[in-house]
Amino acid sequence: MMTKFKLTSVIAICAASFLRAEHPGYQVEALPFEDGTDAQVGGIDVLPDGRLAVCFHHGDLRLYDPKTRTWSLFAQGLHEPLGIVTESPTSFVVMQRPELTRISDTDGDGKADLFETVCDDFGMTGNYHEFAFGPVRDPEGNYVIALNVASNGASIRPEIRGDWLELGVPREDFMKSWGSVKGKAGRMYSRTPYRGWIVKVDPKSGKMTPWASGFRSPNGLGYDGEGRLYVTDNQGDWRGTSPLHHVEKGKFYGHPASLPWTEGYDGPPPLEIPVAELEKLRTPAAIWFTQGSMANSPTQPVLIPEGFGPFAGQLLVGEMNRARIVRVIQEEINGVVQGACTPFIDDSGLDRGINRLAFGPDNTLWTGQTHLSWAGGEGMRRITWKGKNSFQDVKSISLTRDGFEVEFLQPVTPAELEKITLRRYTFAYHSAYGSPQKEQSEIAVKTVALEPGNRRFLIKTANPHRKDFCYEFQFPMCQNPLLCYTVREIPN
Amino acid sequence: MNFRPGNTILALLAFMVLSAGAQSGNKPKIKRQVIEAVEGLRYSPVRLSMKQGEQLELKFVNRDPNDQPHNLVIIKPGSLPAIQAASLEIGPDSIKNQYVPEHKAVLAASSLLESDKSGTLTFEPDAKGIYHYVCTFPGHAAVMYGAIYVNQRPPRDLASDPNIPKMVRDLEMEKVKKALEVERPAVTRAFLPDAGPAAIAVALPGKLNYCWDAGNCRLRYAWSGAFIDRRAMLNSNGSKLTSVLETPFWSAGGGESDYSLQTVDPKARPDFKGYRLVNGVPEFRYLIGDLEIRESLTPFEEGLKWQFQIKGTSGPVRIFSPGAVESDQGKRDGDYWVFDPNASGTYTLKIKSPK
Repeated sequence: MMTKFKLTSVIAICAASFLRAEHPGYQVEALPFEDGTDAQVGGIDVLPDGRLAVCFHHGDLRLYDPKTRTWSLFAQGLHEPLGIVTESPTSFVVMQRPELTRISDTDGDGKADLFETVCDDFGMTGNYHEFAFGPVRDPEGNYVIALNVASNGASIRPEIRGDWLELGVPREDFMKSWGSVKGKAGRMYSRTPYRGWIVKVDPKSGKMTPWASGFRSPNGLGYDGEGRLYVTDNQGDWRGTSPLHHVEKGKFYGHPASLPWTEGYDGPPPLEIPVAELEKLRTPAAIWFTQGSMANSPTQPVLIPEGFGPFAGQLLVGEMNRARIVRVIQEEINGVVQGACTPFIDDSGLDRGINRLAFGPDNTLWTGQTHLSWAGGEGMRRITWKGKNSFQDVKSISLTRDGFEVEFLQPVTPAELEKITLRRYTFAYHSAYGSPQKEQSEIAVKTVALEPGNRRFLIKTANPHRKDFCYEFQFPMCQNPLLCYTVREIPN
Repeated sequence: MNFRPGNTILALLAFMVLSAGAQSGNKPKIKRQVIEAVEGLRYSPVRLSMKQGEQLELKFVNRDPNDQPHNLVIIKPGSLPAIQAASLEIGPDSIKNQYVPEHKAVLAASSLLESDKSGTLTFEPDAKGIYHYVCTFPGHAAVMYGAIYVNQRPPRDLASDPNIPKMVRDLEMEKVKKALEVERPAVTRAFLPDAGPAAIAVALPGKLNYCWDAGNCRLRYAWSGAFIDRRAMLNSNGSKLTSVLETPFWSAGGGESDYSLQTVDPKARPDFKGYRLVNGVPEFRYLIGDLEIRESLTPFEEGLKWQFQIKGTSGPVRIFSPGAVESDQGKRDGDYWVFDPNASGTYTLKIKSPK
């Protein structure tokens, strides 16, 4: 028995040290929760004093003081809150399933007593997949929210809110003969107003303005330093792989269920529109997260501030299916936003299910995990920059006419350059769930140093670039070897 | 700790020897279990799970302090009603047969045990299903039984398991209700039964509760006692309904297109503006056309005081309020209470709760 014990101990120690491997540049710590807490996080914001406002799947809005490492209850009973914005230390705007709500403490006892409906002008069928995401503030101070479509994993409820869009399937049939109409409903369906839309809400009047359509499950909104809005979405129907969209007013982002809510829409039911027509209407993703290797369910994008290591100005995006935060390196080519994504931190103390991210005034990154009935995790993490730039990764990448210009954090040796590989593939745009990698091919590369110091190189590609292809690099010398660049436009 | 290759070889040898032992012969895996007869004509535990291919080795102990004899009879799936009926037919051989009915559904049986005696029996199910064990001593079978789930997952809660006695279920439900009791007052937004998708559940002091629908700004129903059960919702993607733990004593009825408050402009739809907590109790705010309304429900000795404060009324106020709803102010008109506008703009109704 003794020998057996020793053997398993050795294996256990090896496994544990592998999982705990710390990131050389970033410290990851878990936040304390009381035993028995269902710590599934729907939203995080950081107050100017460094405290956190966090809303949870179980309906609480709690405040966390990092100085004392203690939680206090601010409000409870919220319905699937999935985002929060601080308006003042005593007032928060929270996206609940049924409405955007301003939750305030007006009598100074530290607990909310006023729940003001900022906006509930969107429909609900009661289908579980009609999540409401956001809010984030646009540069003018408006709230931006995203309204998920319903899933034919379930029908609707007997009572709905808002107008009903029949599209050849009467509402009674959704209730009485769901089994037979399920297929006709569409895999994801939008039968009440503005499902599948990004909408803006005036913070004072609550007036709602439909902003952009074509979304499926847009569980992540954020702005970059240039005031550009980004929204993630999830692989599925009309989503060959999970995308990051650069969202502009009036554009359509590819999932057709939401189209009939367009003002003056007189087209056919969405599922009857030929794909070629939809192709003409849609704005494709700015960046693809390759399913299986990069991210399967990307979440909230946040802007990296100065003081959090070498990547200021880029974006971080959470991922549900593995213990990973993804980094996005965005650029504009011919007026179109595109760019690359690469893992930022893998494992190193992270959990799966990173649903929400927020930076504090001291450049601490806070993450909150969730799972509901999908893959994911629980709890929260605090991530800080160790202050020393000692690891190797791609700092930035930019598309050139005949290759990619890449800057590394550390000098690269000729032997390391030899090991760089590149392949490309694309994803189908269709109603079926997801897409395999299509038209895969290996691309030969040649590197040319751009300046002394061996940190900046031009990676020349043997074949001309192809639009709407994902270019997948392996940089074996990097902390995170995988990097994917989505080509939409090619520099003139 | 030193890792020596010798250890690996020894460990592998030990593993191989153990594996070989486990594989020899086709004997079923033994599952040992104790079931006790306890006070109140109950078995403890009241349900078991096992897999086909396992042999259940049961020790049955009579711990009933009320000096009652009990047996334990395992029967075929679906045969409980037949065995319950058969156990009441006492024949000349009943005593000799330990009160085990002569019935083809009987698969295994203990002898009839006096208090503090124990016996054993074995059971090897030949198919998946829910097998009951039941005490067939005359008069016991109606309430004294349990369930063996074979290759089948039992419902998560005993309180919602239809295969165990109602009495046990009810006792469990009482425990669940106690565990789910909230600090009152409390406001919880959730998908609730018989309401629109933007529903609000409120727990008031005095064990009164109600459901208010923020979709069309109206009170839907009220109940007294335990509040709500959100566990199914919390353990899912949010699809599951939150259940109301007692039957409502009052309900407004109707559906999504009905409104409580009818004003001079019958076409105006209410626009929900939120609520303020006054001592933790919500006061709802909404607009109907030009009218600003505050609506609240507070407990009083006989039930719920249902109050509307209306700013900007110019005509009679009609409130849909069927059933046991009273008012000291207005006139009853069918299912409505009708009020002439007053200077304070306050209109009060009373929903009587059962004692």
